[in-house]
Amino acid sequence: MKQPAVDQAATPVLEVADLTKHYGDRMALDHISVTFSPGLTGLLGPNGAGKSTLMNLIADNVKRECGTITYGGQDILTLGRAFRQQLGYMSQEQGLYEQFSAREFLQYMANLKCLPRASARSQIEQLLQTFHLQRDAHRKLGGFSGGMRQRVLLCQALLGSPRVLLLDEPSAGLDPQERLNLRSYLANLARRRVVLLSTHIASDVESIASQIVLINQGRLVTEGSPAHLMQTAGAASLEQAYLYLVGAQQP
Amino acid sequence: MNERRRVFRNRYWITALLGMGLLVVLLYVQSQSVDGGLSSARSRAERYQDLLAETSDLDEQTAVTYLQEKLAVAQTQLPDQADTELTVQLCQQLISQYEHLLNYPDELQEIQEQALHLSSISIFNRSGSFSQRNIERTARDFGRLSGLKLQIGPDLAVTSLFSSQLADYAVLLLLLILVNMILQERKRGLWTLIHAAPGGRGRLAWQRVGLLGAGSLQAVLLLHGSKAAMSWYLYQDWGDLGRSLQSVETFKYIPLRLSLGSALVWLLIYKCLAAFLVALCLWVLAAAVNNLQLGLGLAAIVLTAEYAGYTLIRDHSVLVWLRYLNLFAYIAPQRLFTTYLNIPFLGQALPGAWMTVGALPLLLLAVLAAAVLIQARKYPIARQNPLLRWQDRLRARLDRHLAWRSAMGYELHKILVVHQGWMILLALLYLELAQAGVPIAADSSLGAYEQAYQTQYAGVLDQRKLQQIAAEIEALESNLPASDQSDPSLSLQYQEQYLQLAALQTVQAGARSTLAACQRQQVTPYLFNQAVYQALLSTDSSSYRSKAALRLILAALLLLSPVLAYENEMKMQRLNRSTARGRGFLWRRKLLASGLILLLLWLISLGSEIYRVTGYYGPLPFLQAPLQCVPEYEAATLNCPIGVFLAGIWLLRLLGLVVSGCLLLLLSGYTSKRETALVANTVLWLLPPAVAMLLNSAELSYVSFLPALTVLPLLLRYPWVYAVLALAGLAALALNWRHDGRCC
Ligand SMILES: Nc1ncnc2c1ncn2[C@@H]1O[C@H](COP(=O)(O)OP(=O)(O)OP(=O)(O)O)[C@@H](O)[C@H]1O
Ligand SMILES: [Mg+2]
Repeated sequence: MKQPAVDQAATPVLEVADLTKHYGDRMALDHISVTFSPGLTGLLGPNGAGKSTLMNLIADNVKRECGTITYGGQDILTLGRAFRQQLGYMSQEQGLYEQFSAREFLQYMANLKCLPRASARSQIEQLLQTFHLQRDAHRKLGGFSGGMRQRVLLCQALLGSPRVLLLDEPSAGLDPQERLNLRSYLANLARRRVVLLSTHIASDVESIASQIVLINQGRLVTEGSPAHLMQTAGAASLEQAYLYLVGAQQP
Repeated sequence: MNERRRVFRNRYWITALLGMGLLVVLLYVQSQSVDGGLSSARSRAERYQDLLAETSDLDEQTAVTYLQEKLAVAQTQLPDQADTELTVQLCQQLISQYEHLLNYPDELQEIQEQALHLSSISIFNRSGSFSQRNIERTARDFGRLSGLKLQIGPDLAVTSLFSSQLADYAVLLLLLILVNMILQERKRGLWTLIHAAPGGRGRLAWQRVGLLGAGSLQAVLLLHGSKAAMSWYLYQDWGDLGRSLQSVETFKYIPLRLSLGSALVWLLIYKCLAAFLVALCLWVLAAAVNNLQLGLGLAAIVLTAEYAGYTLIRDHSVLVWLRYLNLFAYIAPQRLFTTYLNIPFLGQALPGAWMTVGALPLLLLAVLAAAVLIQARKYPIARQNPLLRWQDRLRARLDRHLAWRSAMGYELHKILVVHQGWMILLALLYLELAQAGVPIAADSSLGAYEQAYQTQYAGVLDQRKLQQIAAEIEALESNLPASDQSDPSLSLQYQEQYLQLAALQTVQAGARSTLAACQRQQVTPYLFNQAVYQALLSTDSSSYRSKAALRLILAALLLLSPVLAYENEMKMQRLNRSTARGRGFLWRRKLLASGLILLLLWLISLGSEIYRVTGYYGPLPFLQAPLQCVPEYEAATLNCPIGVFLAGIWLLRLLGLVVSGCLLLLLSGYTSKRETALVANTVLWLLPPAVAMLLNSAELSYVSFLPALTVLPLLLRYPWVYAVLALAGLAALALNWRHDGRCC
């Protein structure tokens, strides 16, 4: 299988070490250590595995208990705003201002991301075009369908071409055509960036991911290239490997 | 499909219903009392009943004489005695009631005579002309009333219910809310679902109609019922409800033989049916268009047009029937039964009110049919409305240019446009400019002569000025004519000059004590017209100031409650926080935007007060004069000019407003919905002062921001409260910051 070429020198790596998170007495993440190098990393795991929690920790949306998250060798909490300047985040819940138009919303986010107006303007139009939203860009988000909202949120994450992208189930609710479109767009994008993409659908990342991280019940099950995973599991596809590795199926 | 529960158990509906009911009762009590409190309204009603009881055994003519004597006695008493004013008011009311009983038979007689007389004049008696028919009809209608027996009673208990139409308009507002709520499901995309369900169409349509009926019944009964209950509580007795309707002067133009009680019952039934009709009309208007906003917009336009027709068309216009076949004739029917006007209809002269009442069942049927048809036939996704398409195109064009704002601009946009704060600002502006009164010192002991002398001698106060005053007093005393009781004209002149002398002596005494007070403080004394400063600085006029404060709190509450709750409601916290400026910066901008809004509210309040006060009293005199020149502050140890003191009061009011803003925001941050924030803040910050005003209880008002924004008694009694408030504001901010930082 052809792997996209990755230019590793340009972008620092994102490193997670010994990360643990509890919600009450429920352990959502259990001493996870992974290194995310430039390229697309597929984050696989069943419902409740802790994928969103991991992303929220990286985005510093939930309080970290123990462990470290470093970017280019420095802790992201020390980097603070400098790290967030490099970050694009798309959460799993579809939060957006329903009374804003799509374009207005993207401009609002560009403003918060501190992008200069001129470049933001052209980026927004480009993204709207890429994700086929141009015709509806002036309409209120409240009237958007689920898939359309999802695409608006994607655009928002991609604004400012961040070097670290956290996409929490970006393909949920997209039709096959849009899903393909997203896949090829991300494959292109991931060359120089750290892209984390969580999903339940292995085929979404099978062809474009340079690395797969598989977690289950808060624990790291395995990591490696898709080919490596399939080899370990002795499976013909990533999906089968996934099912085998989370213990849902015999090989 | 529990539609009924969904609507009537909705927090929003219940809040609106109760809030409106409270407001209506509150304003009713205010209109019935001297100082706005419940107890004073109660004692006023008791006085009224007592006066009525004193006279009810007398015959009408004797009663009038008796009351006029009482009135004359009251009028000679000093005006600052608390209940003189009340006695005057109530005597006048009763006199006009008795006079109505005396005059009404003559008025009826006159109508008949006029009819005879006019029909003998040639231009009127052309048979078949409208004027001829009009005269005939009027004579016939009122002829029914001849020989009617009228009877005195506590009319005020009934007429006070009709003195304001607020309850009627509140019903309209509730109906708009109801229609909006029923239409909400369209917005949530549920319509398609329901539409597809078996029985989803016809049955749903009838259910809707039932909902509208039940809702309008609830609104009418609650608002008018609570007002009537309050009247019952105040007056205790509505008198003999069996007496004829025309005994009450307000209803003298209704040519029907009805008892007062049955007329009131009929009126209530009419109001219920009319509200149902209005609800159906609004529903049809809004439902006929596929777009919610456009539908409500259309309803607004129609209502405006109807209102214009209702108020602007004059009696002799050929279009006058538009006034009677008008939505507002059903919404606020007051004018229908307080006037009698015949209009041409099919060659006949028909009383306009008959037309309105007669058309009610027909209109109800027609609109009912339309409502059911629309609901049952209309498809959720129809061909696009041309209006909508046009709006769409315009928006697409504007969007590119209008959507660019600074971070601050976005926050202001959310408050003013998304949460429709601009309407609240406009409403506040309207209330401030059109509805708020002018402060007048409650004791109002300053007569016109005093003010004139104070203006005459205005300026720095020194011994020379005192001598001038003394000289004029001497001159007045020597000119005083001997009071001659036998010559009435001379006696009048004597009274006049005597009053002048007394006024000047008062001014002299005031000036002396000002001089002494200022010497004690070693500041320059001034003399000037005291009226405006008495009004502005007296602790007596605090009810005026607390009303202004209540308006400010209300506006701040409506504007700021949604600010942080909105982010939670839209689930935007995580996204915002992941951006470079989404944390401290965004929070500070939100705060700044809220601060700007508060500043704007404060400026509106300040500006309109200056506008009203200077409009009434003229420009403020001698702002540089020391505070001790105002009698109430002679003992003050503070050395500052009046102007600075006034500015200080206003700045403290701003402080109070900002602190209340901080607390409003704090609660807003903890709630996950805008409505919840609004309800919670209302319960916490608005209910206590509103109830305090109703009960006229000072203790209860201290559980709110009212005293802090009213400033004056609080500042004089417990100035340290402002330090505590500032600390509370800071604490609220710190808590808010911590909550914002913790997030998710
Ligand atoms: N706010 C929260 N409060 C309490 N428990 C939580 C919270 N968020 C997540 N959890 C728990 O943490 C665990 C991991 O949740 P997480 O959302 O990270 O799973 P996930 O892998 O993203 O699942 P999914 O595929 O369904 O999105 C779950 O057991 C969940 O119940
Ligand atoms: Mg998840």
